[in-house]
Amino acid sequence: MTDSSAPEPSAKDPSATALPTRASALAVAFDKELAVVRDSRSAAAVDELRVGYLGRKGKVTALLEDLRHCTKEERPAAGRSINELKQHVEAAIQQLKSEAQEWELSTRLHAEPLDISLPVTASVPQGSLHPVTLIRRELLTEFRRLGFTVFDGPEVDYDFYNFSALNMPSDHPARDMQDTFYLREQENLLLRTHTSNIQIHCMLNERPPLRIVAPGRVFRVDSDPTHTPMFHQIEAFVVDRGVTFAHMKGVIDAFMKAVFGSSMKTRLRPSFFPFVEPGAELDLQCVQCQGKGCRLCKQTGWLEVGGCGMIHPNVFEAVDYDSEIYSGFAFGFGIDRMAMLKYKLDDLRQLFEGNHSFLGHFPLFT
Amino acid sequence: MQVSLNWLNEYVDLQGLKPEDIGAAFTAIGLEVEGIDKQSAFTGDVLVGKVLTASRHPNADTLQLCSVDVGKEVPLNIVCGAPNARAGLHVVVATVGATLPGDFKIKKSKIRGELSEGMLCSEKELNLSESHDGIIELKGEPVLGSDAAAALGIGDTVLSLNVTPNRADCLGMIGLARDLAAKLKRTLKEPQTGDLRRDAKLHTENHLKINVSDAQGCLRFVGLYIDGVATVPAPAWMQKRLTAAGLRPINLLVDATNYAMLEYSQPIHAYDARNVGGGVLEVRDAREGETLVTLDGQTRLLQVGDLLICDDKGPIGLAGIMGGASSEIRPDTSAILIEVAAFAGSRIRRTSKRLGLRSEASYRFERGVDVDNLATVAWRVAQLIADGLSSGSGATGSTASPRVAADLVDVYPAEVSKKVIAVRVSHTKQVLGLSSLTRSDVIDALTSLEFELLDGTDDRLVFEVPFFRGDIEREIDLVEEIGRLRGFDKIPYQLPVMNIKPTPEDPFISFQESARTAMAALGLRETVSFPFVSLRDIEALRLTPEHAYFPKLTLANPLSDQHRHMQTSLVPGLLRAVYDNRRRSEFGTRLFECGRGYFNFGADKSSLEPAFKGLARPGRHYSPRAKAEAERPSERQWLAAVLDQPYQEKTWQTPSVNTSFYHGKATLLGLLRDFGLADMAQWAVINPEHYPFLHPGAAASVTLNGKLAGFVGELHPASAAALDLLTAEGAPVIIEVDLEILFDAQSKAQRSAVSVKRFPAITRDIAFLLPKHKTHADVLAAVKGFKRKQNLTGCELFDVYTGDKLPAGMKSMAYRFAFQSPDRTLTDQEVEPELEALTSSLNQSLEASQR
Repeated sequence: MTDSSAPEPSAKDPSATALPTRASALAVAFDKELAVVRDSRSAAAVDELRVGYLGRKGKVTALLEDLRHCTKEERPAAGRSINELKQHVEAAIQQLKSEAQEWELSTRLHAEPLDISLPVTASVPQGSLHPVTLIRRELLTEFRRLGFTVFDGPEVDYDFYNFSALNMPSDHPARDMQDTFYLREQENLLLRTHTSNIQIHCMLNERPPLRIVAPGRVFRVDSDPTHTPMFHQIEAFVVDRGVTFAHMKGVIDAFMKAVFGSSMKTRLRPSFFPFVEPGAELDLQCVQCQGKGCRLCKQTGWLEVGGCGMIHPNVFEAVDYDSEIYSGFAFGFGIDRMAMLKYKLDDLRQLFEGNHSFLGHFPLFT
Repeated sequence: MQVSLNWLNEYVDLQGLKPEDIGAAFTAIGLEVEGIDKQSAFTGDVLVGKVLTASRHPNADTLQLCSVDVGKEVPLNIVCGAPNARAGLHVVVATVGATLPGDFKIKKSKIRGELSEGMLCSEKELNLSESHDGIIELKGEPVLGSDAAAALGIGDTVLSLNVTPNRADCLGMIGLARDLAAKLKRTLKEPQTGDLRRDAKLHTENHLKINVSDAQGCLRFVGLYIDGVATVPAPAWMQKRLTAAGLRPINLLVDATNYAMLEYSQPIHAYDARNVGGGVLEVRDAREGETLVTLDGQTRLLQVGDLLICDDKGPIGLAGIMGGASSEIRPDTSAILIEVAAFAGSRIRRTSKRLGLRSEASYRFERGVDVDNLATVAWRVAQLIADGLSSGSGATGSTASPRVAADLVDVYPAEVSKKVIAVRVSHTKQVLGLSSLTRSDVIDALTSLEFELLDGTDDRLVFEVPFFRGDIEREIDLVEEIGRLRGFDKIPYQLPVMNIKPTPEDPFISFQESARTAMAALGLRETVSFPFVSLRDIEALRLTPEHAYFPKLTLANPLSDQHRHMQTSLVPGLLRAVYDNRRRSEFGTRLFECGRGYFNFGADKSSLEPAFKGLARPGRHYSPRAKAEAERPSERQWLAAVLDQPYQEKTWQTPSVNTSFYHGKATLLGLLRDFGLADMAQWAVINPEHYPFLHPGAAASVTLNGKLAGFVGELHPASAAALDLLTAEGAPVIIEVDLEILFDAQSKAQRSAVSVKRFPAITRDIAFLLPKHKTHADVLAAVKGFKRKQNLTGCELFDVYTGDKLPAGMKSMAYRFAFQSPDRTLTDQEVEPELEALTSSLNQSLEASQR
């Protein structure tokens, strides 16, 4: 087009010969204003720009009016140059208008951002499962993977199932190991002191081979920070032909590795439980220090978690299994103790206090 | 059991063993060590050493340079100022790092230019005496590098052993030493009484007549007469050991019986012979109502079954538990009768439990004593007394010259023979999973524990069981002994190869877990509470003894009154939790629990009908044998929940909302919906007699397949007030359902999906003005009864209004009806006639009109 340094033509100048030059100059001026308006991101400025050029008294309109003064020869060229200018301005303004819509939307969206840090009330409040439930599920999952079937049994039971069938005749001092709640209403009726009564119910019900796991609540006359009158045990037992102590070691070790990871170590120490022979205490490598020795394990590197042993032939005979044909093992431990280890709790009693905020701390999926 | 290692060393040589090693050995054979208490004046390594060479210090005339062997590769260089330091001497070496009394730390140092790596100790430096004349010269040939404290017989270490109830013999030092000796392959050294001087002219039978009238209660009774005794203090070493074992020294006569008891795990009683009337000791069953004043000054009321020791006048002791006050040892006692008996454990246990009277004696009798060892023990007591009186106790001014009778009186009504048990080597290998085990391993293990091999010709080895091992009853017990001695750590880890036949699992177990998940998803937190209730809880729930929910099972020995009864419902526990939470200013608690209600209907299970139909069924999880037990209590599997006030605290978003019956209903419905049971649930207004703890106007029962499944409702204001749970917002809302009923309904439910509807519905809103007593259920029933139904598919209540602007006794309920066709889009013209017919049908059946 024209040299931008050309002097600005006067609108009053009726000289039609200057029209193409004026149009070029106006185009330059428009582009400058356009840039300013675009920078302003103002819809109102866009409108102003439009009126200023294309309105009834606009600068382009004024040029068009000046066309009247042109000669017949000049008119085609002048007309063309003005028309080009007009199209340029119209297109630019159209483009700007649609941009202005976006500016406006964007301004509106940014005008009042939400305080995303405000607390919210869920339509359904957060529920939770008890830590004992969570641990029990984790343990049962591993037991089922090893082919165990879950079995349950009564909590109020007769002496036979809880003691005598388990090789603990009355007046046996071993009964002192488990301080028992008795019920007034019937003789020999008690709250089970361990989940081992389920062994008896199960074996009276089923025939070998058996791979059973029995979780449940048990009761003992006891109350201090590490003992509550009710607590949870889980017990697994296997009965078949040719089951050995070495199998028991293998299964316990495999189970604990499945639950605690493959670096977990287990240890058995001889001990006495009337319903097993040989019987043993079951120790886990300390979960806190990995066996190095710490306060939790009293520097021993081991945590005593449960008991185990080969099912006593007297128990098999109490349920009419031939102890010459079948052998088996049982092992059990406290679920609450596992929960305390896992969640680093120091007082067992808080598991059973129903404290709403305490119970809310256990996520559904762990 | 507190075990002094100095004392234990009498029976098994502990030389060269650290207390930790001894502890580990005990633990490895099933005698768990729970604590090691080192009682020493010094810490660090103070060892036995031998001076190899001693030469003059180049820079000091009074000092010597010694080369001392402390059992290590290189001898230590030690500078010593004692005149008696010389080559060949056994000495006590405090090595670098040790701390002696007076916080004297031994360091590596240079003394006048010569290196010194420790110190040779005098008695004064170890606080043994004031003697500082020279260094200690150890006698004999002590092991170089062993703990000097042991060689000096000073200091002691006490192990706390947890002796399991089967090991009666291990409640004595000799029993413990026997097991340890077997494990460590060392020799057991039992006390020898051969040198005891007896008086040939003194016969026990002239001073004691034993009469065992109850041979069931007393298997054997040995008596020994000793005179010329005095109640002087026991020698210091005996007192020290008794103290280490946790017993209080009293006087030589009593202490000697305690000492021998701790050696042999055999209780012994000493009587002042003067006060045993007629010189008679009779063992007999007590008569109902007899009384006895025991040593502790308490008067004991006796009953048949209690075993008594009597003289010719009457009871003088509670056999095996505690002696009587009348015949106890007194300061002027000069002649005594020693009783060493074997009483039946079960008798002792019953009496001791009933009287709440436990003693060292009863503890041991309950577990069993060695019936064959009574005479040995009696002579041992005599020896301890005789030695104690002659060994310088004269310092106390006693001029006693004891005379021990030449013989015992031994009454043994029915001789017991030793048990003979066979153990198969093959069976032992099989049970333990120890294929490497040999015949001689089995024989060695058992003989080291004093089992006597009677016949070892084939796989089957026949052993005689020593009397002190009353716990050994059958083959498996011998297998255990073999495994225990070998060490469980020597048994390999093996996974069994098994028949994979699974035992069927009761699907209810998984159902219950699903119910828990459902409740958590409905926004409740799971709790677990003790299943015990108090009468106060029950009274607060306005339950009377006739009511099905009134507790039927009572603990004979509850921890407290609050824990006296077994719960029949989970509601009391949940309300307790709400109360506790509120006390901590936590409101709006939403908890649920899965637990059991315990019922004891006996044979009469009809008492609950019809209100609690089904409640008396036997619970789950019982064997057929247990189900056949007619009197067996039943356990119901409940799920219960509580929604405290308010439902919603005011927040910046929402106003506060009080918990109402409808929130409880929504929760219960949510649970039913999760199991696909919502549509079949029948809701009914409760009978207040059946649920006295529920607000009669804000509660409902729910029935599935005609079986009562549970309830939901606001806690009765009176109950809420009694439990201090009533607030301005109202009472908590409670829910309880029988999970077994839900489970049964779910397992029977038919499932079919409804096809996706592809054409739009036309909806019309109609408000009905109808009498206040008409319910939503009435409206639904009327809609269901509408006969000219064509395209009507939905009926949703969206507004309920009662107020002054309506005619008296009326309310307004507005419904949105939906009309939809499965095969085309409906037009208004098609819907209008059906809507009109529906409206007029409803108006008629509900006595309603339009506003």
